[in-house]
Amino acid sequence: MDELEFRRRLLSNPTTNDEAVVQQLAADPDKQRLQHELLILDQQIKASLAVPVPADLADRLLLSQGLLQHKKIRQRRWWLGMAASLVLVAGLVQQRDHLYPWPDDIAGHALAHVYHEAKQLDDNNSLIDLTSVNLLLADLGGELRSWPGTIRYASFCHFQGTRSLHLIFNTAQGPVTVFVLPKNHGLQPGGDFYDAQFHGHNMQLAKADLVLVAGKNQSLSGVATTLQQQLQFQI
Amino acid sequence: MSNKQIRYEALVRAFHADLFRYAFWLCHQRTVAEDLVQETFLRAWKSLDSLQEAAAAKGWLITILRRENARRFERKQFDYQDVDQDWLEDEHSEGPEQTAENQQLHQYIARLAEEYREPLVLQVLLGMTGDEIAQTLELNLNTVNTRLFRARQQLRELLLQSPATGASQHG
Repeated sequence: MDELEFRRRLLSNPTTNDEAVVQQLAADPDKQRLQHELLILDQQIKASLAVPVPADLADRLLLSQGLLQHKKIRQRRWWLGMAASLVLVAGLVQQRDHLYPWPDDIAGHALAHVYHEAKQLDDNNSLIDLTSVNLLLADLGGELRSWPGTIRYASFCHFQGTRSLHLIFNTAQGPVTVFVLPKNHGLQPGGDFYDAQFHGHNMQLAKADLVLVAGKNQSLSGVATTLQQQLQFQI
Repeated sequence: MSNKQIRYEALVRAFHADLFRYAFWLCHQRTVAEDLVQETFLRAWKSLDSLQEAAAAKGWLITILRRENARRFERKQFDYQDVDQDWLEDEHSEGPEQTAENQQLHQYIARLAEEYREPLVLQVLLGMTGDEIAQTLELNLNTVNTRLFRARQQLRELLLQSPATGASQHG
């Protein structure tokens, strides 16, 4: 092996086990010096290549896979959604006298969304961790510092064009749905509301409006208090 | 969590950093690199069953990412190869721990021709062997070795000419 070939092999891999290269290295201090120099260069190359990685990249990758799964499940259940919507329309037409006021108010929209995602209220198996919920909340400038129970659902939905977050919390009495609406929703805020199955409560925070909905026999005050304490918005 | 999900999470945790860095050196933009990694892992999830051995995972993911990058070029005709100073300097501001030498080297690496830089990234950063690189880049081993040789040779020449690092290496 001539000098040029030796250099070619060493420069293509400074840590090579190539026997011919190793033999020449052992016999020649100058070649050892070259190898040493190349090993240092490789360390420097490695350091230069190692650009900073976004700190939450792994979590975001896992979240988007979770959302993809969720979307697929939802696509598979499109007909269920359709059926639920028809039931919802029928129900609302029947009960519009009870809904106060309808249709430009928060209550009507909140109930419509609860019915639309009715399947989620029966699904005890899915859980979402707080980090994932906060990744979505961050879009609305919010953060849930901690939560005493488990969370089963978090997804964006639209309240008459306003992007809002639809959350479902598990409580001892059953699931409680919470909608987080940015302040610019343009819907009429109301007080408490109800229909044949559910009752709801509006909470107005400085940076967002919340709508809590649960089954008629469930209490909303526990979740309301915890949200008051744990949900924060950037100023 | 299903077994598939556990496997997937392990894959994400083990390789996301390497893939992000590899993607960055392909496209030179952090946001695009992130999108590429995102697309790569979503595709990986869809075909996770086809990955039989854990040992092959790195090469498998790199292959998916390269394909995604090619698709990106089909979609948009932006020329990301046209490296300007902006992104280089941007990048530096994020790495305060980097020494002046590394910054210089970073720029030299960025200026290497893609065909020289890519095998170097795979070898030095991702620890792939010549054979693995040859397989990933669909080249023969000889070509890969020649490119690795030229990449190092060019970097050494550039460093020797540079006043900042020439002194510390040889003074």
